[in-house]
Order: sequence, then C-alpha cells, then structure tokens
Amino acid sequence: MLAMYPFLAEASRYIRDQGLSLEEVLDHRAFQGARNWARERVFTSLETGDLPNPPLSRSAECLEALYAYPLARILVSCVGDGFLVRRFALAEADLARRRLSRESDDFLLAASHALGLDALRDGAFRLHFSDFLRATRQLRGKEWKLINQPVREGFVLLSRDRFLRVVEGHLRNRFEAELPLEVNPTLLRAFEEEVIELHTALRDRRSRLQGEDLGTIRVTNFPPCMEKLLATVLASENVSHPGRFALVSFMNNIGLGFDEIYQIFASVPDFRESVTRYQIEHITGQISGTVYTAPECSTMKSYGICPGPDRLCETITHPLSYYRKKTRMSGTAKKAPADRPAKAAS
Amino acid sequence: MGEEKREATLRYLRSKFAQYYQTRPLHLPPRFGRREFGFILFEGGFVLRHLGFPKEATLYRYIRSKSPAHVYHSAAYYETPGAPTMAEKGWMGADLIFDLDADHIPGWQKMGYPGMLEAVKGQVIRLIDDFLVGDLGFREDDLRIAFSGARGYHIHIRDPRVFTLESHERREIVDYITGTGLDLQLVGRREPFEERTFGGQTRTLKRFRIPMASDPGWRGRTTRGISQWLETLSELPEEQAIEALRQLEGVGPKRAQKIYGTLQRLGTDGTRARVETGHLEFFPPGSGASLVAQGVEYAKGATDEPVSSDTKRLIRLMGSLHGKTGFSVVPLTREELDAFDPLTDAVPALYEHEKIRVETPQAIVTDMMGETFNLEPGQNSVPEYLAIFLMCRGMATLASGMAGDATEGPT
Repeated sequence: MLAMYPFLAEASRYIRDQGLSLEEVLDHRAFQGARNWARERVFTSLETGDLPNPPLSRSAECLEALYAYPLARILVSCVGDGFLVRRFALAEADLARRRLSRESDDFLLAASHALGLDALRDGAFRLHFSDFLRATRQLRGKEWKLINQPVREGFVLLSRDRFLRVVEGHLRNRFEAELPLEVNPTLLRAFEEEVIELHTALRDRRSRLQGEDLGTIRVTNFPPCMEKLLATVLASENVSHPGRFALVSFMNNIGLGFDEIYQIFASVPDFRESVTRYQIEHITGQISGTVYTAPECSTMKSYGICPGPDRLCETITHPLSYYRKKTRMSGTAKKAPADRPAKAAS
Repeated sequence: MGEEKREATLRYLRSKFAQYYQTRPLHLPPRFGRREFGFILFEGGFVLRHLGFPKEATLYRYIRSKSPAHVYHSAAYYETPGAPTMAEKGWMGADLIFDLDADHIPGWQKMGYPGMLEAVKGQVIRLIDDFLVGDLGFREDDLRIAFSGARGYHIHIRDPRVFTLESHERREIVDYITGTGLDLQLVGRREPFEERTFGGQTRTLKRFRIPMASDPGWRGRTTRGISQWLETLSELPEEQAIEALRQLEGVGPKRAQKIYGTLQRLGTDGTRARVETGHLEFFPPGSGASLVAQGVEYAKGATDEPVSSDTKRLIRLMGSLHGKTGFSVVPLTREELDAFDPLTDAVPALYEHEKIRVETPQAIVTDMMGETFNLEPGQNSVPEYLAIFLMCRGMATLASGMAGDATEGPT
C-alpha cells in the first residue's frame, strides 16, 4: 500500500527506518531497478506527463516503487529547473489521483487527512473552504470558483470525483513547494548522466517554444479587454490608470517596443509627454529593468476593465494566453525573422 | 486659514490625542510582536511604516511621544516586521480583513453622515450574519469587529485556517460575498418536465426552475433573494411595485402588471411557499431570468476588494484615534454592534462637554451625542467633543485667543 502512495509520511518513515542513506541506495546494485524507475518517471513527466501505473504485487516491486519516488525527486532537484519541477509535480499528482480513484471512500478520506486536509464525509465529501481554495489555486475554470460551490457552514460539498481532483490539486501544490530539495555533490555525481540528458531535453523544448514567434501584431487577435482599451485610446478617450497599465504591459509583452506604444498614446487627450513617457518606460522595463507582465483575467475583472468574456476567454485565465491561442489558431504565427529583436513575455 | 490658527489647532489636537493615549486604550492584535506598525502624523502626509515593536510599552512610548493622527498595524505577521523592505520581512501569514465603507452603499452621497453610518451598519451585519458566520462558518470568537473611526467598519478574522491564504484565494472569498462570477445556470434554468405526443410528434415541455431555498451556497441564497425581494414588493403600493418591476430587464408595462397580479392572487405566503420550493413558472413566461437576476442583486453582500486581497496591507489599530474625526476605533462584539451608534459611542469619554470657541468658515449642521447642532459661519461656542470632530475634519479652527493646549482645559 505504501508503495502506491510514497508521498505519505508513513512511506518516508518506512524508508528512514531501513537505515540506508540515499548515497548507499544509489550505489547499491540491488536498487538499480528503483533507480531506472526514477529516471523513467522524470523523463515521462517532462515528455507526456502520463506516468505508467503498473500493478505492484511482488514485494520486491513494492520496494522498488517505494524507493523510486525519493530518487526521482532527487533527480529533479539535481536539474533544479522550475519548469521540470512543475511538470513532475503535475504528473505525480495525476498518478496519485488515478490510484486513489480505485480506493474506497474510507481510504480516500483517511489519505486526505494524512495529507493535512480538513475533510469530512457524510454522503458527499466535505472540505473546509480554505483548503478548497488553496488546493484549487491552479484550477481557474468557473466550475471551480468558490461562489459556484455548495458551501455550508464553512465546508464545500464535493462529489467523489471532484474531491479527487481537489486532492490532486493539493498534492500538485505540495510537490511544487517541496522541490527542489538540497542536493550534495555525491548525489549530483550519481545522476550526472541523467542530469545532462534532462538539461538537453529542456533546452530543446525551450528553443522550440521560442521559435514560435507571435508574428506581426494583429489587433484582431487581441482579447476583448485589450481590444476595448485600445479602441478607447485610439478614439482619444481617457483610460483609467489600471487600464493603461494593462494595455501597455500587454502590448509590450506581445512584442511592441517603446516607440510604437508611445505613438499610440500620443493621441490620448490628457497626454502629457513626460508622464506618458515615464509610465511607458517604467512598464516596459527601461527604467528599473523590471518588465511588467499584463495582469491576469481575475485582476482585470477586479479592476472592472474586463468587458465580459467571449468563448475563447472561457478557456484561458490570462489575456496573453488568449492572444497566443488565437494567433496559433488563425495561423498568423510564423518563425521569428532574424532581424526582429527578442521580446515577448519570457 | 491662517498658518498660525492652523498651528494652534493642530497643537490642540495633538495634545488631546496624547492625553487620550495616557489612558492605555489600545487593543493590541494577537502576535503583536510580529506585526508591522505604521503612523501618520498631524503635520506630515505620508506613512511612517516598517516599524516593529517588541513590547507593548515601547509602542505606547512611541505613540505618546509622537501623538500621531493615525495608527495602523499590518494584517500580516512577519519574521522581522521592522525590516525596511517587504522581501526582508519574511511574510508568515495574515489575518483575513474585511472593510466596508459608506461609499459601497448606493446613493450614500445623499444620505448625510448619520444616515450613511446606519446604512453601512446594516450591510456589515449582513456581511457577518449571512456570509462570514453563515456560509463560511467562522465562529464569532474568531471575528473581531471594529468601527473604523470614520464611515465604516472593519472585520478581522483570526481563524488560523485562513492565515496562509494568498491574494488570489482571498479575492475568491470577496467574489463569493459580492456575487461576482456566479454561474447563472446554477441558479435558474429551463428544465424539461413533461413529454407530450401529439399527432405522432413528441414535444418536450420545459419550465423555468430555481433551486430550493434550503440549498447550500448561492443556489439557496439566490432563491431566498428572489423570495425576499418579492415580499418587499408586495408591501409596496401598487404603483410603486409596478415601477420596481419595470426596472427588471425584459419586463415592460404589461408583464409588470401580470407579475403584480400573480403576486396579489397568491398572497405573500403563497408566493413564498412556491418560490422557496423552486417554482417560478407561475409568473409570466420569460420573466424567470430577470427575477433570478434581481434575486442575485438582492442577495449580494458588499465589501472592499483590495483590502481583503492585499495580504500586506496596514489596518487601523483598535482603540486608536482616527485623525480625520477624532473618533476612536471601537472594538465591538456582534451583539454590541446592534445598538452601536458611532456618533455617541465612538466619542472618547475624555472629550469634554464644556464649550470652546471655534471658527467655522461655513454653515454646519451635524448630529453628535444625541444633539443636533446648527452652526452659522463665523465664531461658535461648541462642546469640545464637537470642536474636535470639526477641527479633525478641517471644518473648523480654534478661535484666536483660545489656548492651544488641551491640558489646560477649555475656558
């Protein structure tokens, strides 16, 4: 059982009680299988995210599975890359949810308690709303908004399926927060080959993503909020301060330079050259070096500058994702011309 | 206003505030030593912040020496609250704060000060009873309520389960209260209820259904909102009721008349019984969605979004004085809130009833301590408590010849 849920405190206690240091495990021929498994887990989480879930019947298999988990975490930590950490956390949490989905309600509830969740069960599952909010931090669809949950006396009522999704979210946050662990030179040496391989895979991935340039700026691909803000500016009407910030940072993120943005704002009625120049320079990072990223959808809503979502908006949580998605869908993306300066949200 | 008079006025206020802080009136927050403190002085506009106080005595010493106009502490607690930058402070968690101010009440500008205070109190009671204690299940022990000293109330939630919520998650709570992002499909939609076959063709009949009033969360809340709104409507004279109905989207004069007719026919209890069990189909077809929208509107709570979602914000210290009114930031239990009247109960006992002379450039009408004052422009003799209020508001200065030192007492 522990081998299926190696992230539980009981599992790490078991490993500790064996009295073997990780260095010893890595050196030991008997643990070669665990090591291979760890390697597999990390690579798969980077590539497809779909970790295999073989049945664990023999005790040797269980032991391997149990050790594979801390070894995989160490390998991820040796690479020390944020993107890899997130992919790994996502894949591990997904695997845990698939495994938990085959357990009884009682087991699921006990596991959630072991993970520190304030959960109850009477018919449906009930989870304290503060845990619900933390666990669904990365789920931004409206079906996960607190306001759309049946909340009673501080607890959110959840079907078994939704409860599993919430537990998955909780695990994902936890894995992300825990990694990378500290590693010492012995561990680094032990995983030398794998670390080099992973660095290469990550580099390939990055250059693939960067090659996908957003092409020439197309206003038709702007999300409704930015389109509206831009139209307001172009109509020489005033835009609120948060509105200006959102528009300038957005345009900067998709690749417009200082001069181009400045030209657009020159038509604003309360245009004051020095102020506008300063604001744009500030947001585009020419003053402090900090390049601001456009606010996400929830912030836009709070500022009251989200004009209401269209259908594509329902699938994203950030105006920039809208632009990227639409650009990709409409086939207006192209390879970056060599003379265009590097840009876009990085 | 002459510079000299202004100086004398500020001197008076500073000295009165200093006297007040001699009485040890402060209600310090839990984890006091981990909080950041901030002050605004009478003479300077910006906040002195990034200050930490290891002991109560050091804080009192500081406050008595500066006699500040405003005193704040952080909702957050930190490893090193006195560190000069946020990054160095080491954020550990924060109370969850709600702030409700008169400017959240529609039409507050026209209410006058006592009216707006009363309206805000109603909203605060609703925020606490319906949302914080109701749906969100906080215990009254975890809740600290305070009159803000001006136009509103603060609620501090000190349930450890919310301490580590981040900004985005706190905003979700605000959205829950203000009805933002509600999925309208959840609270009312057309549902099939019968199939009829006629001449070989099957038709599905649909009707507009809403949740049961007892359903958890916003489903039940919306239904209760509709029911309560209809109830207030049935208490209005016909003309006004029809006018209110016509404000609904998609409701013209005919439909308004029909809805009103239905309300009359069913009576208050009949309407309530039907609506609260999820039935809205006895109203004219097509009015369901607008009644639901009205129900949501009616059931909404109010609170200030940035105050709750900013996990590093400063909030007024309970028991301190508000430099723009002279009122004290009074801590209250939920029970005390009901009878609380800021214009009497937030006036520190230290402020005298004896009169002092002030100069008021404009005519002023105001209530305080159960009395209404009608002041002409020019010199006026008013009780000290009123004088302090007016001087803090910037509506009066100490009349020349008045001692600029409150400790000598008014003459």
